[in-house]
Amino acid sequence: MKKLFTFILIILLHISCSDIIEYSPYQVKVNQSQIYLNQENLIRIQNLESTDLNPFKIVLISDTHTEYDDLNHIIIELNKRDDYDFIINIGDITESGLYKEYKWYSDIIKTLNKPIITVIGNHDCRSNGKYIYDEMFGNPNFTFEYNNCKFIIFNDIIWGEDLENPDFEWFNTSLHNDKQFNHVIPFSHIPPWDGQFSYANEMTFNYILDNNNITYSFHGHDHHFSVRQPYKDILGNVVYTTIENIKKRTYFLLTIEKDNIKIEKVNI
Amino acid sequence: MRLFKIIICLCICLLINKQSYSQNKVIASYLSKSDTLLINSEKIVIPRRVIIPDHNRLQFAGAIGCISAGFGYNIGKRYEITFMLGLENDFFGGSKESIVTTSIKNTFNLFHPFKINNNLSFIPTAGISINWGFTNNTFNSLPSHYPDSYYFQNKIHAAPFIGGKIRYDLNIKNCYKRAIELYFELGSLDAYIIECVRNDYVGINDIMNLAIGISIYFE
Repeated sequence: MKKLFTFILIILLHISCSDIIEYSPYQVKVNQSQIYLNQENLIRIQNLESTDLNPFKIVLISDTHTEYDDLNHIIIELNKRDDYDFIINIGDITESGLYKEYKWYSDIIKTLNKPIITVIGNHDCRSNGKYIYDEMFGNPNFTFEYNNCKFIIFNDIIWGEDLENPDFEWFNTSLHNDKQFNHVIPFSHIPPWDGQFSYANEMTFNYILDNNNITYSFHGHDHHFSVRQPYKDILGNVVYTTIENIKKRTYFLLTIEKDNIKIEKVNI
Repeated sequence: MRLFKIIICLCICLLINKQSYSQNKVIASYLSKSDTLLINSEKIVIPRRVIIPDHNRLQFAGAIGCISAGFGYNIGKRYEITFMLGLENDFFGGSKESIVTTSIKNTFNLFHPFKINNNLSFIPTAGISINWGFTNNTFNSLPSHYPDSYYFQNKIHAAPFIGGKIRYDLNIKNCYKRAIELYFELGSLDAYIIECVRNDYVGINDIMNLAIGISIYFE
């Protein structure tokens, strides 16, 4: 009997280090190797920067959910080309915000040659997802500069977090073109016309963009590709672009020139 | 921390309940399976109380918390139902947000016990648990501000498992702790199984989790 107990104890100690011990699907317990991935990738982006890169290209993907095979396929294709600088994933990296879904995603993006920035989506806020995102990727609201362009990553999820409004105050101050940037480009998961926003929020979103002279805003969530100006009759000329989900095996190439931004759909 | 104390108290209560009764022979026979009493040479059949559980369990891991405790009933020779309460928080398991899980575990003994020696035997098991997870943003029906069927519910999960147990029979007189079992279960979760079927990337080893526990049988 004693031998049996020691045997079981040894097995217990051995396996407690590996993944087979799972305490809860909702757990907020991120490995040290997986924390602050956005910050890690931002450092890689800053290292890329040189003064004569303008114009440059970035890749947009969105709504990867749990389509890991499609994501893997696209990563293989992206690793083949070298003419872009980094990738932005505009939200919804999980289906139910479970820890394992986050882990699978973070394992896959490690195979990318280029840095990737991950925006938070509404599905990522389900159950304890927001807390896992905070641990794994850091603060969901942040800005970074690259080649005299300012990129704004904005968390506009309100339902998962039981908020009434997104942090518009932060959004407004961040969008301010304070250093003569060529472009200020916001990325957020949910487009303003979505049902999650009240009419006031929708109008505020558009007003803030227009007030800061923003021309382009990029979103995911709708799962289809559209470039339009829905508020042209009401206020401003902001061009809203939503991109397709990864299941359609497409990615989008954004060419940022000195005074123009072009978007191109790439089918695999 | 308060929740943890409650769980520990519950666990201790469950472990001592039958032992304390067994001091009294009348009550002891009242609780045992032979429910007949001989009083003044008359046979009195007393229905067995079902409220007092047949077994208690303490479990480590298994997707229902770092530690979980519970009680259950043996229905027939093959089927056992166990009600478990599990906890994971910063101290137990290291999750930043605390998670309380209740689980109804349905275990089936697959075959007759394989005898190892007089007291020891091995029994393969299989079954399915239904787990309720209580933490932030879990719900059965969506909060009112969502449109209908915007999300699928994320509170209840079905968790099938296979496993085995090593049973050690205690043949001690006047004691109702009749057996101690060490068990292990390799389980998964419905959400993971769906991903495993849909994706080549997610392998079987990615979705499995191991639970180890001890159960004490009174019978």
